[in-house]
Amino acid sequence: MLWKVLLGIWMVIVIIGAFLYAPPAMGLGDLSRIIYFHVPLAWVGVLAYLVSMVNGVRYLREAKLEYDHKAAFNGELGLVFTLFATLTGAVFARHTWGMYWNWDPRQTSVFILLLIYGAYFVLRSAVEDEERRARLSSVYSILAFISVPFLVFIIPRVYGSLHPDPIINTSGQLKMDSKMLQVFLASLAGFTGIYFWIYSMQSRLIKIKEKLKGDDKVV
Amino acid sequence: MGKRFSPWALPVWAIIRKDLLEEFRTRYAVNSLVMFAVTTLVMVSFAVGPFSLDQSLHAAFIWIILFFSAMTGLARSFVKEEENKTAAGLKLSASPEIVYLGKLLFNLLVMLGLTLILIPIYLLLMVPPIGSWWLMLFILFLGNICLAGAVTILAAIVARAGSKNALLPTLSFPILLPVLITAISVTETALGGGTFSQGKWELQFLVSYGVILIAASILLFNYVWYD
Amino acid sequence: MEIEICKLTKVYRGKTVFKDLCFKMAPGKSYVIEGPNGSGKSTLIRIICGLTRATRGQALVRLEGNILRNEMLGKHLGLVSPDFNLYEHLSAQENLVFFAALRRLQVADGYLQALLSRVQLSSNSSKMPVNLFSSGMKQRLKLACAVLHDPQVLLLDEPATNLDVEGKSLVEEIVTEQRKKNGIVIVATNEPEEVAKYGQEVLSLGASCMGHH
Repeated sequence: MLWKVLLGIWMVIVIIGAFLYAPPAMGLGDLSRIIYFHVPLAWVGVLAYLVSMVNGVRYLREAKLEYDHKAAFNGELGLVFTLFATLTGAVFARHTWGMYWNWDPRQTSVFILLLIYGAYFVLRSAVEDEERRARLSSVYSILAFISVPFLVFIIPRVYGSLHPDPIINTSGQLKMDSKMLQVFLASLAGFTGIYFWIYSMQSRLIKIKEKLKGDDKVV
Repeated sequence: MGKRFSPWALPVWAIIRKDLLEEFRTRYAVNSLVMFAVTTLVMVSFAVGPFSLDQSLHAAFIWIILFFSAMTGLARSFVKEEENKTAAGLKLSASPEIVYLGKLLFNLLVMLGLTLILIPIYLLLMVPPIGSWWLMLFILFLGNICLAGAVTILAAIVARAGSKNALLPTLSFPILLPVLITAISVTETALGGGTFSQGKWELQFLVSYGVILIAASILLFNYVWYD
Repeated sequence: MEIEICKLTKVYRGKTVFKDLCFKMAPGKSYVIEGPNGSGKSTLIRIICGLTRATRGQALVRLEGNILRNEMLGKHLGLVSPDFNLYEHLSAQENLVFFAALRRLQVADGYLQALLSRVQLSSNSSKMPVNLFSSGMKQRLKLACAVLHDPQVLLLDEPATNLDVEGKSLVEEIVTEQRKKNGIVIVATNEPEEVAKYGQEVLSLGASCMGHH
């Protein structure tokens, strides 16, 4: 319980810090404050996908449906976070590049990530048998995962992107003021914390559901 | 053959031969594939009319037609085994890797055959300028390997998912988009008379992506194939 | 070669097909699985073949102490089943050659001819595509395909379907021969006369397991 309260306070501090403590970036002005939310959202979106894929692998190895349920809800979670990252990105794009959507390589890659999530859920809904659904969707998420590094890292680099690259830039340096960096990292940690909170909650829910189902079978 | 080759050669070839025989007798894939490709091509040519397109549009058209032809033609490669209840025989008689490789190579043959028919008609109707023939042929070959590599296992997934028809393009698109984007860009270079070194990065990407996709498919096919 | 079915349970879409089956099968014997429709005869055969997964428990096929799985299992199994069709657009001969090649066997022409005439398919009809066959001829070809690689275990799911009197005696002949070769035969059927004819031991799948049909 305590750490949930701490997480709440932490996020409040992050939000206040993002708007009041961190200085605006050169050239972008107050608009730059969106990165304290946009980047962590995108990060969690990719993280959830990674966790989903790892759970898929675990399902294939151990054939426990619990892992498949975890993979599925991580997919849902990732979809929501990626959607918000896309929206905040569009807002940023509107005010710097003039349009909400202009097929910048970064936007293209996040769009494909959304498509992968979409296809994953379409596949899941198409299969009736639980175990077969688990196997097929695990295989699909692994296959689709192969394309993610290409989409997230390689395509934007090769086809020059207008997207600012604060963490992963070619020179390997952080182009951030120390106050900005503090807020940025705090926000990253905060959002990751939120993700793990939802994750643990859902995991417990799944365990309870499986238990109830197991009881059914005995009867 | 057989003795001098790896033990895989004989059964893999048997699957390719079987599919070819079936194909020659039913002409299912060939008919739907060629008709689809030609219809699309004529539509594009009709819509464009007397205007000449620039290279990027030519490149995009070629790959869009190839992509959707792959979707129509290759979708049945596993669905027909499940529908006709012949999959059990394959499962009992050969290892999943062999079945995958056989199907992959057959699908690749189908795609290459289609490309052989399609490209001359495209040249005839649309008259795109081809600057670098070798690069063009190379990228068509490489792109088709990537297409077949990804679509083969996805077609198996679709067949096991109860052969919902619209499922294959939905599943393929995100996985094939990196292939399509790079293949279109290389094709553009080839049409413009570029050299291999100009498309070097893209070609490296396609080779590595194709190799990883096929390797992953071989490892994962087992889980798709057996219940 | 030995088959051990151990606490085998299959639940399909929430319905228990059979529960905690235990059975052992030894070489040189023939077994009949009998039971009413829906009692899981075909499911049991599919599980032994590794084509369907059991919900709980195992069906193990052992060869000299090693447990066989997937394609290694397939190597020693011959299956005739309504769930396993041959390729309709290939001729009888092409089907047999295909399955032999899949199993990495290079069969002589004479062997194939002998096999085809054994299941009473004339050399004329063996060159026709299978979709021109009558259902009885298809069933004969399935039998030929099952014994093609001389398997140690023969699984026959309703083998006499669509067969005439001669065909039925052919099945009987195959069963007896397999037994003599010290192989295992498992026949699934619900015809009382077949149960007596093929089975030295009978495994009854209870009507209690039946769903609400």
